[in-house]
Amino acid sequence: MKRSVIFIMATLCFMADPGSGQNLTAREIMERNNAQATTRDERAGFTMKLINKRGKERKRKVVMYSKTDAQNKEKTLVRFLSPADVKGVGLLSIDDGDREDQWLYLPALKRVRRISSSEKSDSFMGSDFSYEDIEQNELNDYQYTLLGQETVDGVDCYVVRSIPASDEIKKETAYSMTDMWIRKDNYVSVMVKFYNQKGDLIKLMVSTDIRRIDGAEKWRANFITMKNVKTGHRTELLYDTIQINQGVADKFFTQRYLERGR
Amino acid sequence: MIQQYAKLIIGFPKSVLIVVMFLTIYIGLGISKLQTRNNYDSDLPKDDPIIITNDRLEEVFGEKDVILIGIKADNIFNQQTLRKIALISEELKQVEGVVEDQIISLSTLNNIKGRDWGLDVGPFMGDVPETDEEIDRIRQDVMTNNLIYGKLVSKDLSSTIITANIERGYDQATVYNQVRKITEKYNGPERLYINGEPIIQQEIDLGIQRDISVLLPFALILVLIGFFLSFRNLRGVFLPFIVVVLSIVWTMGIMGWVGLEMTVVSSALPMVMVAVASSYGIHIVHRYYEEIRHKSVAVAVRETIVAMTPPVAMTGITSAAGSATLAVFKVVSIREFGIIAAIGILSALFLTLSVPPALLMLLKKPVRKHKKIRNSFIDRVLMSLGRFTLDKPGIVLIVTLIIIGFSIVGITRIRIGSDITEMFPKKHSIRQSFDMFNDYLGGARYFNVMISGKKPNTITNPALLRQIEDFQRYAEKLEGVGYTNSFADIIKRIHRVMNSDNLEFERIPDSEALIAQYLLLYSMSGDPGDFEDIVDYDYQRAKIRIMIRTSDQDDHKRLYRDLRHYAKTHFDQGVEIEFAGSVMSWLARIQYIVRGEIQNIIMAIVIIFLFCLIVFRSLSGGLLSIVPLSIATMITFGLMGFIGIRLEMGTSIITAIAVGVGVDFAIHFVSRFKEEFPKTGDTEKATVTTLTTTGKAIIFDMFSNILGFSVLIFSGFTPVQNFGWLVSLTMITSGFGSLVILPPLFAAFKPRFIWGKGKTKTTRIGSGVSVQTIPVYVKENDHYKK
Repeated sequence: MKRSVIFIMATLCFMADPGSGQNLTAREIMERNNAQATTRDERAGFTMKLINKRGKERKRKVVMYSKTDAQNKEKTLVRFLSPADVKGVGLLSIDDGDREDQWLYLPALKRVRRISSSEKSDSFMGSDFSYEDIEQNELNDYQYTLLGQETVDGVDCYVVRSIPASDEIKKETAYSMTDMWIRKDNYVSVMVKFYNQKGDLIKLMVSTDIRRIDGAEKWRANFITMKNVKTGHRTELLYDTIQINQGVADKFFTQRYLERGR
Repeated sequence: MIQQYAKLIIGFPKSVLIVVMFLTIYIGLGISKLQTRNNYDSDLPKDDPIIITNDRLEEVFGEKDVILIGIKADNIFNQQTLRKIALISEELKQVEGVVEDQIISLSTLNNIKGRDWGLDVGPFMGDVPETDEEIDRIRQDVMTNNLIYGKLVSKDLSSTIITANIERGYDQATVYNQVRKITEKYNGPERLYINGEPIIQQEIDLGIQRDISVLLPFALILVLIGFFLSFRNLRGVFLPFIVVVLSIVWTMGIMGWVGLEMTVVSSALPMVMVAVASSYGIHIVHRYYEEIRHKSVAVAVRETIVAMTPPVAMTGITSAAGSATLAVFKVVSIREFGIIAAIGILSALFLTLSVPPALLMLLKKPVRKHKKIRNSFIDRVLMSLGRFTLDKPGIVLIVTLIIIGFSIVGITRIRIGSDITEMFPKKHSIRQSFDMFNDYLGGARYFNVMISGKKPNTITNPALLRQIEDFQRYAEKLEGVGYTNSFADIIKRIHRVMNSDNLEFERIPDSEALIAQYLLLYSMSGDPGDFEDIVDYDYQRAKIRIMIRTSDQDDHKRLYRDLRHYAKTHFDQGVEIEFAGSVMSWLARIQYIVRGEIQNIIMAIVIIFLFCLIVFRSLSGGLLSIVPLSIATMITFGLMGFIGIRLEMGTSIITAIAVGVGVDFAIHFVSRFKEEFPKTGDTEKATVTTLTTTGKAIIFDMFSNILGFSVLIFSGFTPVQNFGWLVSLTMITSGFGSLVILPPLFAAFKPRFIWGKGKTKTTRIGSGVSVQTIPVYVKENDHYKK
């Protein structure tokens, strides 16, 4: 009941927003999409299913903490909860904008090891998501074009195409372009198509079960599928909890916490 | 019936020709439907255990083909070569069907390294190194990584491999061309070699196309020359030639219509048709020239049809029956070849009996030219041969027995089966590529060994991983094994790296949880598809790849035997071990070829025997007819044993063809002798007459066959080359065998179907068809004598 009231209020709120009129530029849409996604801190519990072409799956349950601290450092901690034999495996990364440091903890080894940082185009935890797919892009790194407007599952969306703005970005990213379907009402992207350097569609991301997160003016998909159309492999993320801006303590992002879990 | 058939041809030659023409156009359209098949996985029965394992392995680990590029330099660790590796790896992404993130090379592969600051997960070579220090670092990284050193990079650092996985469903010609373009661009001073299923298959396709487009015209020119030498006029050249060409069109057209695909084996078919159809055409035209000298066109044509239909039909049916016996083989390419060859021979038979007679009806009576009689050198040789064999039957017998004895020794030495590699001649680029991979890069072909547990998560068990490791160490010690890799290697590598890169830790850890966590670490640092190739998703099955650096199938056989024995005795019970891979499916052929060949020889000889038995209405007639070709077949196999030609796809079709075609010689000889003997009751006279008439015809027939078959020696495939010259040889041995062995046998056994019950009953009629076969050669040879 409460949820629906908020929903209505939110909808009204968006409708009242003068910017939600028809004349947004692609860049403006992306700005809003970006703002919608950006948070101070976040705690998310999810199940990651890796599913191969033959339908065989590997399932991992994970909790992920992230925070942008006072020094503007982006910190993330991923902790595996299941399957049993990898329970407690943790990965901590701290990015101060210039460099990223990562530490890994394997409980069976009882040791924290520093590991090298990941590239933008590297796979995120062995899934079909690359780091660049889950990170928020720097707005100026890409050029945007509004391709049009379409309805996805009955919801009006803008279709925005992003193309790397510089040779530097072109070199870092695995994609020659991405097309995003962004909801007009809350600026959440519900579908993304990724094109490889050849210009072929390579991956397709679909986000569903989009809900407003309690206590934050943010919307999140609770079920995300990323499919590699070339290999037939896909990854599903099913969220059980998402908390935004509820305050995540700094101590989560220390090697000590990584190792001891407290 | 033959009379009515003759009336039809004589009465309606134009209609007959028009019908044949339309049939030819219709059937010929089938040629456009003709497909080539270069994939030999489908060659064996679906229920073969190895095929079943192969299918399951593909189901578990994915069905991808691999393109291999081998780079050979003095030392690959220099800026230029490393840049080439990076550029080729990058350009391979553009090749159709290539899975972009499944290209493995020094420039794409991730390395997990222990650095002083921690764990470094990243590509061996991110960017092309600029300085000697960077190059040196990469070299150090390679030499300290046992997943790479001696595998992706050769131990002497002279060579490296780039592999690209490619999804099924690609257009292989496009892939081949695109890959070739890349390697040609970067070839030199480094030598680049390409290999892998798509490349081999395209080479097979190209070889088949080349064989047909080069060998067929060559064979046709040869028979044209042959026809000219026998007839020395246009009509004599073109009438049999039309039969040959139409027969090929029909055979290939029918193949297209019924959906049989061209294989390496059936690429020999057009040449087989040249050999077979040419001799049929010759007989008809020969006979016509005999008849036309004294008669009108219509009468001559009728006589030709009446006289020639039985013998030509008889030789056609025996040849077709011989080919059809190949159907006993369970190897699809061999079976299909037999069936289509039989259909082709029957088509040639029909065409021979319809087209030349009808055309001759429409042509004017030829102007008689006084024909210069060729020297009787052959006659003299044949005469003395006949006398010799009768004077010294003991020598003939002893020599024959010695030859048979040697052949039996040879037969026991026959090696069976061959690997796909050996399909290509030694100088072929694919063979050179195999040699390079075998010499420097641990091989290009492999066994896949699948280890299956009863339930998921078996593979992460340390005890099992150690057994896998021991199995690999054992395999690597065997002669002919390049290297091995498996999931166990990766665990060992990570264990070492996680323990300060201490070599002591390059072993399987004791804790199962640690193994699971290493796996997680590894999978987190790679792509989702990284593991797919070596372990299944729920860790129930693992794949060990054992690279083989020899192309000799005997080595493959030995390795398989040793590995299987080790696996049976060293793995825990409850763990299933299966061998698969294309090396295995080529090994699996052996039993089918052996069993098929034995069945085939027996069946072919029995069928021919029964046929001759019916024709001569005599048991001894049947037996005598099969003697020369049986000996000829033994000689061929004996020779194969001695000179090391293997019994495989190409050579296993020899018997059926040689028996079917070769029996003609014996049938003609026996028939003629049977005709001549009662005239005088004198063995020697009958022998000499038979030799100088039919004997000479047999020699011409033999050469016209060899003309077609011998062209195959220039094929681009070793099995076809072997088939070509061995079948030619068998033609010669069974031809001469008939001339040399039969007379002393007649003299020794005085078979009743020739000698009759008493010496007085020599003019007994009752040999049905054979009586009509005789005049062919009588008249033919009159033709030469006058």
